[in-house]
Amino acid sequence: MATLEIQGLTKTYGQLKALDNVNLTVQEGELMAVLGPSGSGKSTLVRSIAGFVAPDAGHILLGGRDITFERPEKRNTAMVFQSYALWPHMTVLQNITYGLKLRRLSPEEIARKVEWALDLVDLSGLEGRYPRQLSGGQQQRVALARALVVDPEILLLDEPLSNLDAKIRYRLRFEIKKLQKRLNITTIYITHDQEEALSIADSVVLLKDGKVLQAGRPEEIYSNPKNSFVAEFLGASNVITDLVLQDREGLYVMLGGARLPVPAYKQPGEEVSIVIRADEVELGGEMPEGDHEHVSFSGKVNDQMYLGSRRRYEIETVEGHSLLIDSDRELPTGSVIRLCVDRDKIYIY
Amino acid sequence: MKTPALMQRASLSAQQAMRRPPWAGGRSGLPGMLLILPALAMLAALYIYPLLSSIVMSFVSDAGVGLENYRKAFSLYLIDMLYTVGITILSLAIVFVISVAIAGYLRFNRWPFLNFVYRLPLFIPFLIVGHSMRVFLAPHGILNLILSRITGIPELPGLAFGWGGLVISYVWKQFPLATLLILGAFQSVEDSYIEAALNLGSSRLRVIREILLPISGPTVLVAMVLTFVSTIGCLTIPLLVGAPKPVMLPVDMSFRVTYFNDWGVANALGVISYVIVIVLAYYYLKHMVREEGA
Ligand SMILES: Nc1ncnc2c1ncn2[C@@H]1O[C@H](COP(=O)(O)OP(=O)(O)OP(=O)(O)O)[C@@H](O)[C@H]1O
Ligand SMILES: [Mg+2]
Repeated sequence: MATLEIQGLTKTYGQLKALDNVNLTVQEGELMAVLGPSGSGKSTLVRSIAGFVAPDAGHILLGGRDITFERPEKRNTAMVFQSYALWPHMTVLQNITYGLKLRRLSPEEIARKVEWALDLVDLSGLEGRYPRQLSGGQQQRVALARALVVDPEILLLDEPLSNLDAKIRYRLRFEIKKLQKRLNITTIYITHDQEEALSIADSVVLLKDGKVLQAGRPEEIYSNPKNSFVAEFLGASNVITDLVLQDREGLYVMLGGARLPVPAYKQPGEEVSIVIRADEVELGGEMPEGDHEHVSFSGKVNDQMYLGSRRRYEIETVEGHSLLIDSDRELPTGSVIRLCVDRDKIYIY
Repeated sequence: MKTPALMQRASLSAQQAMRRPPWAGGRSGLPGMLLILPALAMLAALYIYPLLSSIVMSFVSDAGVGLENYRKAFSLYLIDMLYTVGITILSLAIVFVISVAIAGYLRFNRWPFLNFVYRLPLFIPFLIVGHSMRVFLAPHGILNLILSRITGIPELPGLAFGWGGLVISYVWKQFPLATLLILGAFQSVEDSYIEAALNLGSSRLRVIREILLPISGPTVLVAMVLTFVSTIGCLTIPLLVGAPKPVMLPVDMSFRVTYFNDWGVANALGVISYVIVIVLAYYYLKHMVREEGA
């Protein structure tokens, strides 16, 4: 268990910057989720921590030790691959024992640790099976046991659940989290699923084009997205672009007849993004007089879709913008309604 | 953790996988038979018929039908048989080590020059290999000239006319094909299998032995069988390189036919070669199975 520090890590493939001056710190025992779209450099990041990618610049420090140019086999990191990479010619037991044998432990010690690991991931009884005889979820657990049994300083998970179907994924994500806390192991968890990242991480890092866009605690990054890309990636379904207007009182933009102030760094006539989450808008009803906490605007119900527990409405504003809003209220299509949203739940960039 | 629903789903998808897709034809494919007929006919005419006829002829001699040819073969050529087995196994072992080493190296490192150069002997015919080895390894050949310069010893024994030269020639001719096959198998092993082992602390040498070789097992077996068969059946190289006595079995066979017109003993020697291959393959496979079980 150790603190991981990444300083100015850069990796280029020809013209492409897979990692661009990445600086991160993962505290001891912390689970950091690395989130980002496909090709953003997530795998390159963990692969350089594990030693499979040689960075062009920067340093990687694990527990204060500079491992930037150490050979992979000397690093004491443990990686779980997206494809699990369980060796097909070895049984579950042989797969898990492999790393222990390399460490020249006594047979009793090996037996003790293997039992501990099998118990940890709830796989007892399947030792003699070959990977092809296991379900995806079971293979995932074997991969986890194989990584954890060698007592690594850091656990690297590269999209560990993306090959599983939604229900198992949901359950396993919490199991991984519990395990991680129980062992208090420093962990990097790669995913492109924002919900997964927000729900299990102690801290979240958002990567795009090899750059860190934002890093912080999940609540922090969710409630204060730095820009419209982060907001959209963290699950905002509405990103509207319009032009900045100006009058005596300053810069503003119009939405559904309401005036929204625009940050001062913008220029009049410049494009501005308005970000609103589908589930943070209240449909219908009037806002009390003199309420400055909320913004009220109007729109017309253009279409709707039944989602089970709620409905999703497509609302069109007078400016011609279209918004998706979730609500449990029933409203007829074609009706003109008022919408109400918290002032700090509207993000303007 | 083993939810029944999960297992049910797994077995269901297995069933689905086994079901034939709707576009696949029936099991009794007449068109399929017709397609492979020419190949089968060629195989029968060029391989199966001569094989059977040589087995039959090995039992026919001037003395009639019986084991006379075999008695003669064993009394005249027992030493050569043992020599053949020994030389072939030794060459095979060296080919195995060299080809796995090169394939392993190229799996981990990009070196286009090596990747090109190791294949060259593939394109050189056996006859040329035999002749050039005879020149290269002769008592006053190129190798000894160089060695004399380096060591300062004026007269060195030539390798060309002993078993050493024979083994070198076989290995030089055979290792590229084995390397090509094994490298192909190594390349098709997913990177993540290798990385997972390195990540857990394995060295590259151990990765080759414990991950790459076992996963590539069937291809390695094919490479070794091909090497073995083409070594034990090669005539040109042992005609040109090696000691006058003992010699490899193909030389004896050609000798029986050329000088005595004695097809019976030649065929008996041929059948003995088949038996050697089969027996060794059997022991090899048994050994492999035991390894797997352990
Ligand atoms: N060996 C390589 N050679 C050239 N380009 C590479 C190599 N590996 C990665 N890249 C490029 O670097 C970029 C980052 O790749 P990376 O695999 O880190 O993305 P990722 O965030 O893991 O994506 P995904 O979510 O699809 O797994 C991509 O544009 C990719 O094409
Ligand atoms: Mg990736």
